[in-house]
Amino acid sequence: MEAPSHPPRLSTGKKLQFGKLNLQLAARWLIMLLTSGEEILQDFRERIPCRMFSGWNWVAYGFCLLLNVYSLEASGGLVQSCGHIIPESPVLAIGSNFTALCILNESCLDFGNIYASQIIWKIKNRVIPKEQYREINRTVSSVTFNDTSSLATPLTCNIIADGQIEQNIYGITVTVGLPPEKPKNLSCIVHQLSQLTYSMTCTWDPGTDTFLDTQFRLKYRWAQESFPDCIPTDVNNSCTIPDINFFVNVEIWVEAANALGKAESDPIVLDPIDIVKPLSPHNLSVNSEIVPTVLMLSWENRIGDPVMNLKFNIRYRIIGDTNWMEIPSEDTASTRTSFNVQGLRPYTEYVFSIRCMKEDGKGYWSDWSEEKTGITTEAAFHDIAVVESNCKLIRKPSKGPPLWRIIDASHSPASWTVHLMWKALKPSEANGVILQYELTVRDKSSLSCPLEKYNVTSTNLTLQLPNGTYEVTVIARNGAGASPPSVLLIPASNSKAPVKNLRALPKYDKLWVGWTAPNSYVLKYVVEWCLLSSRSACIIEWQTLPGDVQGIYIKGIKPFKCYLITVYPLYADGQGSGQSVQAYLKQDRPSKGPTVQTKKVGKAEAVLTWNRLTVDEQNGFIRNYTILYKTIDGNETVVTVDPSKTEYTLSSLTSDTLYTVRMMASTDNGSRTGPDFTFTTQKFGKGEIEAIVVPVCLAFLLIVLLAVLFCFNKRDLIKKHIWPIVPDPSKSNIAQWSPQVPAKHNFSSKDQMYPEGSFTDVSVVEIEADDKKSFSEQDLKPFDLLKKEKSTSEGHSSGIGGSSCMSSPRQSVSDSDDSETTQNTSSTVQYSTVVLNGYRDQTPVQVFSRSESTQPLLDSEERSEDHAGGGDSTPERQQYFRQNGGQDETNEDRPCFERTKQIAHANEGDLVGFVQLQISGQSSQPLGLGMEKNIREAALSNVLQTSSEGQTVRPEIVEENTLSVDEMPKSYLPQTVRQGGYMPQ
Amino acid sequence: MRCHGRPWAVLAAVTKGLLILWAVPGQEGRPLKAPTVQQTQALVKLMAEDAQELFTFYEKDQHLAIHNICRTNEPPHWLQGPVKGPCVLQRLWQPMVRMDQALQDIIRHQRDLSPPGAEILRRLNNTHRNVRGLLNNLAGLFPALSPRPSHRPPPSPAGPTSIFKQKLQGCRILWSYARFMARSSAQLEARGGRRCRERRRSQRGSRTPARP
Repeated sequence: MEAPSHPPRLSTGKKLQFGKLNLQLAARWLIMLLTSGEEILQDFRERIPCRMFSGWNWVAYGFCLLLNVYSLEASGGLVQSCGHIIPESPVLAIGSNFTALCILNESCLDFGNIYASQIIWKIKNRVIPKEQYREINRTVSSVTFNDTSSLATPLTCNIIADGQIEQNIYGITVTVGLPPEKPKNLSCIVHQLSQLTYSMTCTWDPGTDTFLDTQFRLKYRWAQESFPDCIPTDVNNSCTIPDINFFVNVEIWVEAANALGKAESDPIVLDPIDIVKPLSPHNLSVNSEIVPTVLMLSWENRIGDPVMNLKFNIRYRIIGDTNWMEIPSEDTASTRTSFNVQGLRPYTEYVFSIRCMKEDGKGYWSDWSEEKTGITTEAAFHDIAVVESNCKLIRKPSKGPPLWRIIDASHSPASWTVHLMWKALKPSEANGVILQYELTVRDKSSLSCPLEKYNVTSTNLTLQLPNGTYEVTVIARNGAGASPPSVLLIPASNSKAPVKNLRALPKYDKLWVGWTAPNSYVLKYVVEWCLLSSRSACIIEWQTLPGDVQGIYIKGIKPFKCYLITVYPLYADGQGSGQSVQAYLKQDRPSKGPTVQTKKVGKAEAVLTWNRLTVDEQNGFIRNYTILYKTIDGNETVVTVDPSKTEYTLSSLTSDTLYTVRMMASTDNGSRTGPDFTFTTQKFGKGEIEAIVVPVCLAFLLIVLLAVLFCFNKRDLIKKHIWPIVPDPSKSNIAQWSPQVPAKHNFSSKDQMYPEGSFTDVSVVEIEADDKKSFSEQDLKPFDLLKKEKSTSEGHSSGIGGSSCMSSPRQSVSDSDDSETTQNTSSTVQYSTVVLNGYRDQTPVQVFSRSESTQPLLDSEERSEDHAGGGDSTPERQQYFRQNGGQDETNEDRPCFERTKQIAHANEGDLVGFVQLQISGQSSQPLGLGMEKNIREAALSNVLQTSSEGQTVRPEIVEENTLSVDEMPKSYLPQTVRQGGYMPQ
Repeated sequence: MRCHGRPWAVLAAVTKGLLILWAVPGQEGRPLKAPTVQQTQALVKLMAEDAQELFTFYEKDQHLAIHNICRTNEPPHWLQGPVKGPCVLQRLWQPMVRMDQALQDIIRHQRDLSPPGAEILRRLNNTHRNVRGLLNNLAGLFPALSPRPSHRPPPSPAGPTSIFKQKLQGCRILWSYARFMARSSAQLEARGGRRCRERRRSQRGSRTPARP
């Protein structure tokens, strides 16, 4: 956005205090914001104290503006400038000096206590050194610049107010530039636009850039009349005057003007008729005349006699030739609309073009007209007088057509396919229309073979001939007769000496082919060439040359195309073998780069392959290939490769790294890069993986072998750890309870006492004594006794009991005194722990009972113990009993202790053996393992009564399920406990 | 002035010339290469051709090519001729001054009838510029010719009012102008303009000794 022409200025209301200047400024900015947009807003951001808002946003702007507007309204709303700068928006010449004055208003002095001494000058946001200031009086401060090159926009006058607050007073835009230079080299040309309209275009050199808006005006006038200026559009160095008049001198000059001055070019005075570039003649036609060497041109001029006389320039060439010939200028130096071109070849097609200009040579040549062709007439029969007087005017074709062949021996080794071809005679040689060609083929190896004749109208003939030496002749026949014969010897083999030092190089936009003649006398040479292309077959062109020539310019060669050139020397008695060379008339960089890819990628090397560019893509001789490869963040490495190669191995690569590779093909005239190809080198080299994997596998096998051996040797130990002996629950029974004192715990004879299979399981009875109050001291005595006896087991719930007391028979046994014995038997006698939970602060009593069972407790059972005391533990314990009880099938629904009571009924005298009673919760009460039946009965009675609040103890059920001892299934449950001890039955 | 005789007249002429030089600023004050007689003759020839083409076009464009109504034998008095006698070029001055004004009228009239950029306007403007160019050349060739009036005289009060009449009058003027220019061009080709200059030169030469 262009800087505002009137930069923001600080202003104040008449009644405003200086401290409110910011508010006034904000108001002013609000007004200007509506018209000046974002630029002002940016300035506003810099000036308004609302910069205290971090993270400016529009809401903050709006709020701040509203505040300032409100303040403005409150203050009266009248604003005045507090000062200004003179000059306003100056335009200065680069290098000149400049002084600006900042003039403060008196009104600001009155209430603000501000003076010129407080003024600071700034360029943009840079403070100008105070050395450049000068306080002229109390209201005026000046700043001087000795060189305006250091100036920039804006130049602002600011003041340091109270509190060191800097306020902007005024700002100006300073424009620095140069005065315009005098335009030079003014020249004009009148273009003919149509037959009646002309325009004059003048051009000039505008000079150096002025850095300012500089207006150029093309001025022109007659002696008595001036015209409106021509103002260039989009350019500053030319202008076109649409209407001009001839034969009136006009003075033309250019005026350049900018804010720093004006400059005028030197005027030129001319008559526009002298600078006309006319339109070229049109409707050119070429007509043949009776004379075969003359063609008549006629045309129309688009500018004529009233305006100017014309002279012409006529050029012509034989069609197919590139060299133009011109009619002598003196022959066409006057106005005309036709011309007879003489001295042409008979029966030859020519191309003509014409241009014109003012007859006196003033002005400009027109463009060349469109080309038109015409053909001269045949020489025959045209003028008998000429024929009679000039015997050299031969009616027959003057020479035989050049003859050549292409032999294809690929079909059969015994015969050739011979493509005979000859060139049509030039019109000047043919002397008329060639009616036919007559060929004769003679087998020179066999005199008896008849001469074969062929009459054709085309210029080629294909024959199937047996291998041999042939002589082929061809003559061209026109209406007047036959041409001399052209003879070609086709030897059985090209065994003669070839040309030497064959070379081809461009010269003067033509391709020159040169060679060194062989030592033998050469009758003639045949030069063959064809355009090599991957898309089409090589179409051979050829030319015969005399034997004394050792070079030729081949015409019609296309640039950037590869040609295969072959030179054959023809001898009188045979033919030399051909020598070939490839050549380009012009080379260019390849049209595409090679596409590279990897053939093999290793750890530190990669084999790259690419396809050669086709001959159509090469556009020149490929001098080399360049391989460029790099890692993602590495430098590019360049390798130059011989163009004959299609494979290259990159070495010294970094393993496990992504490489980008591309390939460039270069000719003499440039290079072209192919697409990028990426590959990643391998992490391991060839054999490295094997070197790692094989030892690892071997080591693994060795370890496995050792492990197997170890396991085999330690199979018993492993068996014990992995597959512990699980006793058959069906054979378990409690052989003996051992609540004896430790002294009596001599289980050495346990095996005898508990024969194998008599005890199959261990039962744990936990009696929680939460409500110990319900038990009498007598009830607890047996437990105390048991506690004393089992002093070593106390506090080791993991011994034989505890929470998981039976999970490890060995541990249980280890707590006993005779662990050695028990460890060595499968029918280990184990302890059961009867835990009485302490009542209140009393220590719970543990009572150990002993079982012969080696049945480990299941996890569920252990968990159920963990939940001892909870109301939910009962079913778990029932489950436990069910698992181990033999009568589960008949009493599945009954709680475990009911079954226990059944047993108790069966052995009422041994109620002490009722050890598998567990009562949990508040209703659970420890049952005394008293010695006396009465006590037990009483205790049981108490227990039953006490637990009447529970849901499971129902004496009537006990009665209903009374079983005989014999009927009792073998079970881990203590079936018989003798009075006075825990002795099993 | 008349009472004071010739010196005052000279003084007045010099003052007038100085005033003109002072009044015309900048480039206007620069002397311009004077036109040649050949240029002017070529211009007259060109204008004759152009006038004929303009009339033909105008007659056709304005649909007036009926009964040769434009081809009057009574041209305006200022286009009556033929121009005879010496100084043919010099005698072209007054007809061209009048033609300049007449073409302005025709152009203004055609501006009301034709769209901007119309071919008739382009041709009329081109002819008008030729007329002014010829006046410019004549003024250069014959400085003694009075300068052209800076503003055209008011149109004749008896001028035509209807469009057709305006067209017809324009057409007749163009016809008369074409004939006049053809005659002038032919006369110039036949006699050339040199005689006038030669005569003036000889007159000036014979007069020179008489100058004070």
